[in-house]
Amino acid sequence: MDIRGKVAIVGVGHSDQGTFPGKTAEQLSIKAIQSALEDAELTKDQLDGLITCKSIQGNNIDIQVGPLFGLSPRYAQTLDYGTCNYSLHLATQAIITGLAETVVLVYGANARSGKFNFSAAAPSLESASGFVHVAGPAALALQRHKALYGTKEEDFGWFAVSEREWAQRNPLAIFQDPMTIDDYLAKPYLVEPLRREDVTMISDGAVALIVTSAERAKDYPNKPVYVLGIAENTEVAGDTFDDFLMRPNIKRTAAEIWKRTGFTPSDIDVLYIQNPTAVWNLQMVEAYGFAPEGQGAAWAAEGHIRPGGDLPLNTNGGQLSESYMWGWLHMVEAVRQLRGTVEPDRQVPNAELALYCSTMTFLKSAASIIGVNP
Amino acid sequence: MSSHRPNLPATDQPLTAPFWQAAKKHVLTAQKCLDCGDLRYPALEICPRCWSTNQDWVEISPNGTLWSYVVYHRALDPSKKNEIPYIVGRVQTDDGPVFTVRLDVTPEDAEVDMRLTASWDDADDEVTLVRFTTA
Repeated sequence: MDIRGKVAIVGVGHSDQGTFPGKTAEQLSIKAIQSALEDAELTKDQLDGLITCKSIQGNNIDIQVGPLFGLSPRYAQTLDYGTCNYSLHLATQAIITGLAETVVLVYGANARSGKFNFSAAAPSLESASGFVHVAGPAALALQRHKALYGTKEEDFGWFAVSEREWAQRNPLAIFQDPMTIDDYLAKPYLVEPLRREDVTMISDGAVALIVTSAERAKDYPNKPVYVLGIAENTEVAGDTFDDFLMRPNIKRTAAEIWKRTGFTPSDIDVLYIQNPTAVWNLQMVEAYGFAPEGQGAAWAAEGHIRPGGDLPLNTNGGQLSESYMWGWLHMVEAVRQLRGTVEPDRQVPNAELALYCSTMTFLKSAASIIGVNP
Repeated sequence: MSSHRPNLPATDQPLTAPFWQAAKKHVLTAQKCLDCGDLRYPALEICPRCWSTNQDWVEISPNGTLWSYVVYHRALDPSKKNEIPYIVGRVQTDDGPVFTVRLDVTPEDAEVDMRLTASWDDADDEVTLVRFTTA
């Protein structure tokens, strides 16, 4: 089924980003929903769908957000791992099939003030060996990449450095201190070959989007941003083969999104990659065909992804410099770039088409292409 | 034997007890499906290939190849703070099963695709952890 241009994003919003002790994920979610409604000039009774994204602590499910939302829409769902991509895909399906017409998608989290332990693991041979935290498997993948392709840290560091350059142009970004590639290389390792700067920050906050049918979208004040293509793939059977950490499922998602839309990498004006670590950037710029296989870091070092480059990547500052938010703010930024409404020093001129790629750790991958022309 | 260390896995769970009993004798094992022959680590209750529950543990080759390795410079698990920096490797054994465990190799000597063989860390009276060292 061709879904091109049938659904549009008409509102985006978010809470403040940072550390908010005493604020629950659900409270923050309501702030974000309020902000998205204001952006779309809507009231909550005009929504007939609610899709929430669980926080890592397992909160923020639809029936927890519902009582504060104060409305029972005809359609409500929760995704365990939205990354905004899966949430947008579900909303697209709900709207096309008529289950709902105008849906709010929301993610909220208080993992920072809640002091969530991202290294927690049930005692096992691996955890007893000290193999904990997502930085472990990500660093294994990077080390393998270095050995196979000669990838250099002074090239790989440009993913983190470029995101910081964008973050300095984004008032919402939490990490704005200048960082050159030399500064980066002088930082200590966290899990070698990864540095702290290659790994996401943890922050509290919430993000919401409002999605509706293309017919309705024309009635809203903002320039509609249409969903032009969606694709997903998985490796839910888990770690059963030796190249598992290289995540071949991403290549399958990439092939699918290009095939289904007819677009090619050179059509994309702005690129967004959800990134708990910079290894995700490296793997995805290669898997989606922006850089030759094995050459993602060298390609990044050429400056394509920096402010002024020909393929701006994570213009919000990404998860390395803007905020945690599991990639949700990447989608918000993509929408604002396509509307042409971000701060002038961050605005990518004539941005009409954006690709947002995300993954659920090593187990699933998803992509959406959104644009201003249905 | 070294003194008791925190966060060691339970060795008395029916699914995994044979692995830990063999490890105590410094023998590397993996779970094998007695119907289709699928060989795997970690263990599963049902064979993912044929869905048989007829499974047992068999000795496998202690030799393998280093797929990749990393060095933990920060104690992301605070109970390991006296052990940093430490090195963890993903090792594909010659019989197939993959283990991601501590290496008895210095970061300077570690190299992707190097040959390794199992070595053993008797963590306490109950738990022996497999590691890998230069073959």
